[in-house]
Order: sequence, then structure tokens, then C-alpha cells
Amino acid sequence: MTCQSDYHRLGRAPLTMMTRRGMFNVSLSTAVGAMMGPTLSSAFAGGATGGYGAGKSVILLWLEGGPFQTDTFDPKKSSDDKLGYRYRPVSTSSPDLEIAESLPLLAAQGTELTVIRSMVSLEFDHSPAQYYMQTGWRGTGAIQAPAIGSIVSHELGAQPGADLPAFVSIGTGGFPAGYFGTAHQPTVVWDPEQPPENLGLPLGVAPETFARRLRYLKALEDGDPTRAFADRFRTGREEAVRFMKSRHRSAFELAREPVQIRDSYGRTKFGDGCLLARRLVEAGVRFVQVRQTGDDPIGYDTHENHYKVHDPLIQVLDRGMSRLISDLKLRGMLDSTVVIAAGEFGRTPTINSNQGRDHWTKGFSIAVAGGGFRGGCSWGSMNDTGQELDSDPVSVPDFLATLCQAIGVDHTKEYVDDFKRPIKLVDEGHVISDILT
Amino acid sequence: MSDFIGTPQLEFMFRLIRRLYPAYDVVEEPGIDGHLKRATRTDMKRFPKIVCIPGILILLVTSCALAGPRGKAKIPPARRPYDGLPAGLTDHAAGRVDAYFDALWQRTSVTPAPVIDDATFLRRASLVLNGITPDADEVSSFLADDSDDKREFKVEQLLTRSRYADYWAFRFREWITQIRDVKGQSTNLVTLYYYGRQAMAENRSWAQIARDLLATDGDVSQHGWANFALYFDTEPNEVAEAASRMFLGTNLACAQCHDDPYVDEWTHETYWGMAAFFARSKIRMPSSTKDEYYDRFALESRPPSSVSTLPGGDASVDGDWGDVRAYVESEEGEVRIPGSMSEEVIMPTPLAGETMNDIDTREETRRVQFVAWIVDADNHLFARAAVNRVWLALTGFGFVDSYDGFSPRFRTRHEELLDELAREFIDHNHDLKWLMRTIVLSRVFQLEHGSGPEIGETWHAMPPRLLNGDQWLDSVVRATGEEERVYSLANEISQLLEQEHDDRVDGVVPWDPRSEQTDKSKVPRPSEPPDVRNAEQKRLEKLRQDYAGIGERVAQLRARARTPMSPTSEALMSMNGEVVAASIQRGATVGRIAELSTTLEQVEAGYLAVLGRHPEKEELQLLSDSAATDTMESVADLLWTLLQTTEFRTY
Repeated sequence: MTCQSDYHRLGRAPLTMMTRRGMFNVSLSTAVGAMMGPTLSSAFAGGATGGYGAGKSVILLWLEGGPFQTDTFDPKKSSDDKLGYRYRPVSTSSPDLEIAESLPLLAAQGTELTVIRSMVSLEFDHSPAQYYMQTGWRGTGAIQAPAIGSIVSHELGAQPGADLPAFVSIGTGGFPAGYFGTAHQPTVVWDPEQPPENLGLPLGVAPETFARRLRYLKALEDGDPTRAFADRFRTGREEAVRFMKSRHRSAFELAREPVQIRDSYGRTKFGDGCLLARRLVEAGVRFVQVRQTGDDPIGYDTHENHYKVHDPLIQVLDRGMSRLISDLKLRGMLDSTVVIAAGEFGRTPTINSNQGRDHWTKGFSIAVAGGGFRGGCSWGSMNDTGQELDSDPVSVPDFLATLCQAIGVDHTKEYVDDFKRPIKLVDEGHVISDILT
Repeated sequence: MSDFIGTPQLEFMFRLIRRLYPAYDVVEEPGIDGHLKRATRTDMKRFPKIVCIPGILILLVTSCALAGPRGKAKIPPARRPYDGLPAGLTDHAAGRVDAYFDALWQRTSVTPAPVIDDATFLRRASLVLNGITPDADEVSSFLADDSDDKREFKVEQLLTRSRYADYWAFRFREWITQIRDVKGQSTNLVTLYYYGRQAMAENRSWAQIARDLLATDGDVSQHGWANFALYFDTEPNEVAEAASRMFLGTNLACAQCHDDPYVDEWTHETYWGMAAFFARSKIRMPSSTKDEYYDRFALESRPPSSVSTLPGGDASVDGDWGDVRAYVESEEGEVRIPGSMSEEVIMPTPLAGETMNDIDTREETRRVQFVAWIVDADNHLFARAAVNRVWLALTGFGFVDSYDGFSPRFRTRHEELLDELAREFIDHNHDLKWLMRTIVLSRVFQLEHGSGPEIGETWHAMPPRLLNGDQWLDSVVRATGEEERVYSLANEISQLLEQEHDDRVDGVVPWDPRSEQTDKSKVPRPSEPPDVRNAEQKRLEKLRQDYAGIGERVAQLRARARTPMSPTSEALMSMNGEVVAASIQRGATVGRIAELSTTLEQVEAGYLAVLGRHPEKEELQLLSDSAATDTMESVADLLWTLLQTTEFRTY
């Protein structure tokens, strides 16, 4: 069963969300990296329908390399050797959803899961496909598009009173902030058990040494307030020092979690990342992305020995993601937090001569939970063997537009770049209202 | 100095000598394992020029080099006012640039900012040409030098150092990678850097670089130039678009999908007409080890293993290694407009040119003909784009606002000057160093900072700029003396290797632990007892590992420093990050300054090392109320503080 609604049975109404091309900001900055103009008021006001803005925060579980849809959220019964499927479909806690038996813990969270099985990407290689999935734009070089985390950071900022960055990236430096500029680059946590990058004092520098140095610096810099960039540095430094001393910094400290909770997330880098993401959202961070990598740096990119590499990864995913969902639910945060598991594409249904699976863009899966998504259902489908797209293809921009809708960001909003061109937040995306509450 | 030289002929000869003299300068660049020799050899290529000069000049060169026009001199006041460029300079292109702006400023009643003092000039020119701040010794000797044309001399020196190529190879690579955010899967960013370094060291002409990148077959793992096409996945339209942005200063990207609504001339057809030049360029990969691929791209010319004189050597160059793939021209391939109803083949058409329907009847390949068209002297776009690119990279101001900003939509600034420089650039065989020299020696480059929207038009003051990641990292590493430490490590390895080499040459077989297991009677006696020999080898191995480790770490930190980050993350990196913290801790500067007897001398030395100038009177008081427990700590405080200043992080 799918997430179809009455609305859907009546036929999908074309979504006309064109925005006016109004006045453009004409103050073209001559400095390198010209700033974007202010937003245009959009004709599309978001609307109360389609779960607009139910989600307040986003946790993106970034499955870099491209996980295999049939091993995870779109299981198939075919026993064709050429396909070499290993996992059977199992029922979940939702009567309308089956997922692969490889994800037993997530199956127990079935009522929360919304699975899109008909994702289509236009990019076939990792770097362009990641850029496309993150920004909704193909990286042709024509447009400096911001990644979704930077969009959310720019549009929503951190939760009021949070005194924490709006956007945190765990295990990856992240993707370009595009025309939103460096202020919307993420705060990076390389290792969930460590503080964010450079937040701690370096070894051998005592707090009183640091304080003394700051005093010297203040004396020097205050004497020269007219210098260009002085403001930028001062503000950056003040923010940095405030962050270093903030009591909210404890949100980054996994050690504060009870041992049982830490164990329940699996004690893996990814599991720790999921737990840290929960802590951060709880403390008011708006967008957290957690990159999953295995022992092998190739991640999900299993061109050889697919099952040897893929199996441990999905076990870790099952544990971390299911625990994250149940934990958020327990704390009453799931309704306001969107949890997404997505890679840049899927993997081929046929297994290659090296027992591997290659890149696959014509029908792969993304799983979503919480924050305005309906749950317990799927959208779109592949045929019985998993080799052909059957119904309701969803483009990458469609997905990002739907995500924007769920968290109350108008995806049709236009910004003006330094060529004075109006550029939509998400290019040509249509919201799939049926999977939203 | 110009008083001393009476006649124009003599002055010419003198300047020529000064031009050649810096060829000796490379000796001050430390290096490991043959760097030095290679660098010197490269620079010696300049010497054939001498041959055609009367013998007396050679004598003059030698005496000039030996005696050195700059002896030890008095320490000048902290900021010696600079009274303008020497009069002789008006012969140069820089002089014509000055004349252009003089006239412009007079006409528009604009008062230009004052010319920067010597210390500021040295720092700015070093950062721009070598990507690094000068060290304290260089600052002192430059300030002490009282010759009139020391700035000209210094620019020559900076252009000759191996650092010039080390640094500009990064910028060159970035010129390509910034064209789009995503990279082609097989691109080898390391060999691309090597190629850039070699091209910059040889001062290969910009036209030759265009030929290399666009029209030369190659395997990316060996031939860095082949990465240009691979970076854009060898898609004909993407390569053509990138080529237009890189070499014609023109961005056609919008016309890929639609007629550019802002530019009448650039239609869908224009875009695909350009793409057609690359319709027959393909990626090849070897299918087996016996493949003809290996016959053609014999893996003998692997990239040189130690070209970089950056601390940490080649390992400190960041970037992905790609796959074994080649960029080659094939016999067939056409482009059609995607999604178009007609199946019509689009034939190659240069921008604003005639469709070349007979292109395939000629002997040269399509892309060779493309390059011939772009570098042709009649194609004004090529030289204009190059002048704008280098001007923008060096000053932060461009004739248009971006490297690829030429478009009928935007006004080009200072059109007349641009045309003149473009003409001269062609006359100088597309010589990048000539262009850089002209810009750096012009007054407009040497103006003090200023702000306001109008400076973007009249360029009567310099826009302050942030150090880029490479400039920042390398300058921190130098100012703290970490560079020195890494170089001495490299030298030590080099000496040990030489020692080992000498042993072999002398016929003494070095100790080989494996020989213990073989027939002992056939093995010559080791030169030293096994344990000593072993220990030495172990030490060498350890040193080499340390050195490689430093290189790899530097590469990571370099890549991170170059990544855009928020001002907060940037501040955290600057205050707490490994680059600053570890360099202060390990580098030689703290210890050396701590040996100075008074606090005033320490502050003085700190300013010279970090900011490249003498401190002002009030700045000398910096450490006067130091609460640090010992001298080492208070000097570390001093270096840290100066490294955080706006002055250090901008130029």
C-alpha cells in the first residue's frame, strides 16, 4: 500500500508555484564573492496544507557512496541468480509497509517510516550526484547553489535561544553553502566523541594562557578598529570564544549520556553520531547531518564484494537509525524532527562479475521519519524484480521541495545571484503532498 | 642609483644585469634530495640569454653577484616613507599603466592613496607572487637596502624562486577546479598540480598552456594536463564551456539549456557549436595490462617524485589521485542539441564566428583547430581574458568582476588599458611573468588600502584582502620557524641518503639484514658492524617516515584551510587549530626569540617574523606587563597574538 490520499485519486493537480520576478537587489558588491540580495516576496505563501512546517529540525543520515535499495527499504522476492538478492521482505509494525529483513530494528519502527522507492537522479558519478542530492541543482558551474543544510541554516537559523550553531555536520566537512556564503557552512564534528573541530584549547595551552593571549589581542586590535575585515575577525572571534565557553557546549558531550543509552545506539561512530544528532536537536540545532562510513573508506560504494562491505553498514544503520527514531519519539520530539536516510543514488539490481553492484539512478529509495511525514507507508514503486521503475517517479528536487514543505521553508523562494539572475531555492521541485500529514 | 648611471645605454645594461642576477637567488631555497639542484638547473636556463650579450656583461654579472650591491647597512626607521617608483621605470609597461591612471585620476579629480612603504610592499609582493610572507632576515635586508630600484629587483627575485611555481600551481589548479563544484570522477588533482608547477617554473606561455590543456592527449596519472578535460568528464559541452571560462573569460553556461535571456548573441546554438569542437575527444581506459593503452602511454614518465619545495615535499600537496584514464582524440563523434526535435548535427562554430563545415577535411583535429582559433592574435578575447585573470588574481580588482565575467551585459572597466596590455601580452608571447611583473611594479598595485564603492571603479586604493588558505598556512609555518625545522629534517634525510649513496658508489656494500640468511661467503663484509649500520638505517627510515607524515598532515590541513568555513569556524581554526598551535610549539622561532635579552628586542623580533615590519613605539609595550611564567611562554603568547591580528590575516 502506498501513501495515496483522496487528493491523489482525484489526479495530481499541477502545482503552479511560479513566483513573481519582482525587483532585484541592484547593490552589486564589487568584493570577491558578492553577497546575495534579499529575498523576493513569494506568491507562494507555503500554505497550511500538506504538513507545512510541522518539522522544526532535520537530521540527515548521509549514506555516502549509495546504499542498495533492495537490501534496505525496497526488498524484492525475486530469486534470480543474476540479481543475487539476499534479503526477503518482512512486514513491519505498519500493515502498509514492508522493508528488507536485513533491517529488523527499523521494521519495528515501520509506522514511523515513509519510504520513497522511486527516486530518480540525473547524475551518475559520486561527486555530481552528491552535489545534486544536497543542493537540488546539477553542478554545471552555472549556479553556486547552497546545500540543504545551508538552506535550512539560512532560512530558519538555530532554534530561538539555542546559542548553538544552526547547522552541524558530523563526520564530513559538508557541501558548498553556495550563494548563502560562508556563514552558513556547518560547524564540523569529525569524531562524535570529540568536541567540534578546534573548539577545545590545544594541548599545552591552559585556560589562563588563552585568557592572557586574548587580552593582548584585544589591546592590539582595539587600537585599530578602522582596518578592513577587523569587524569580521572580531565578530568571528567573539562568537568563537562564546561558543568555547557556552554552557550549551555540553550538547556536544556524548559522555553525559547514560551508559545504557550510549550502548543502545550501538557504540559505533555512526551510532554515536545519531545520538549526538539527537542531543544537538534537543539543544536547538536546526540541521544535523551524520555521515556514515564503515571500516572501509569506500562506504556504500560496493563495486566489489557487495555483501561483505554492505552488510556491516546496514546493520549499523539499522541500529542507529531505529534507536534515533524511538529515542526521539520517547522524548516527544519525533513530530518536530525529520529524520532522513539518503545517499546520492542506489545500486544496480544486477550483481557484477566482481560480486559488486554499481551506481544506479533509475529508482532508488530514501526513508524518512517524523516531522510532518505521514509514516507507515511507501511512495512510488519499482517492478517485481526491482529493475524497472513502476510508478510515481520522484526527482531529487521533488524530494527536497517536499522536505522544505515539511519544515516550513518555501522552496520556490527566489534569490538573486551576483549575475542578477533570480534563482529558486530548489529548482523545479514539486511537493509530494501525499506523503505529508 | 639612477644618478650614478649617466647614460641610457648604461642604465639598460645595468638593469639587464639586475634581471639576471636573481638567478642566483634560488640557493637560498632549501630543499631535499635534489630539489636544489633541479631548481638551480631550471633557473640556469636563463643564462643562454647572457651568451648574446658582450663578455663584459658577464664580468659585471659576476662582480655584481659577488660584491653584492647591498651590503650591511644601518637599520632604517620602522616605516621609511617611500617616495615613489624610480624614474627609469616609465620605460616599462608598468610605467604606461601608471600614466593611464595618472591621467584618469587627474581627469576625475580623484586623489590616489599613498604608495605603501617598503615593508608593506615586500609583504604584499611576497604574498601575491610566492604565497607566503617574507621571513625576518629578508625583511631586514630589504629595509636596509637603499637602492632606488630595490622593488623591481625584489619582484624579479620573487618571480625566480621555486616558491613562485609551488604557489602558482595551487592557484592554477584552483582556476580549473573553481569552474564547477563537482569534479570528474577520474581526475587526478595531484598530477594536475605537478603539471601546473612545471608550467609555472618554466614560465610556459599561456597559449602553450591552453594547447596543453585542450589539445594534447595524455594519461591523467602521468600527464597532468589531461586532467582538464577529465575534470569536466570529457563531455564535449562541459569541456567547451570550461575552455571558454578559462581562456576566453566568457561564461556560456546559461546557454546550455536555453538561449541566454541576458545576452542576445549567446544562443543554444552558440553553446552547442562550441561543444562540437570537442565532440571527438574521448576518455580511454586500459582494459588489460597488455593493452595498446600502455604502449601509447608508457608509464615511464611518472610525475617527478620530489618537485615541491614546500615543507613536507610533494606529500604536502593535497588532492585525490584519480584512475588510469587517458584523454584522446578519436575519429568520430558529433554533437546534437539534446532534446531537440531535429536530429541535425551541430558543426563546430567559434564564438561570434563562422560555422566550420569543412573542419574535418583539414589535417589537424577539431580541438587543435579550436586552440589555434582561441590563441590567434586576432581573437582579442584570449589575451584580454588572461590580462583580466592575472590582474584580478593579483589585485582583487578586475576589468570585469570575475575571471569569466566578460559579457555584453557588463561594462568592462578601463577598456583602453586592457586593450593595450592585451596587445603587449601578445607581443610578449603570452608571458605570465611579464604580466605579473607589470602589475606588481605599477603604482596601482602599490597603493595603501582603501574602501568605498568608487575604488572598485577608479582603483585609486587597494582593496584589503583575506589571506587564502595556502598563504595563511605557509605564512604561519614560516613565521613560527616550523618551516625551518621541517627543512632541516629534510636536509638531514638528504645527507643520510647521500652518505648511503656514496657508500654504494665506493663499492662498499651497505649492511643488508637479508644477507644474514644467505650464503655468507659470497657477501662482502659490510662497511660497519651490523648494529651501527642497522641503527643508522633505522634512523633514516624513521626520519623519512616522520617527514612523509608531516607532508600528509600538511596536505590535510592545507585542504581544510582552503575550504570555505564560517567566520566562527575560521576564528576557532586560527586560535586553537593545529597549524598555529603545533607550529608555535615545534617551530624554531620561539626559542630563538626567547634568547634575546630584553622584552623590547623580543617584541621587535616577533613583529619582524610575523608581520614583516618593525613595531611602532606603542606596540613595543605589548609584553611589558607579561604575566607569563617564563620567557618561552611569553614569546609564544607574542607569536600567537600577532598571528591572530587582522594585519596578519589580511594584506
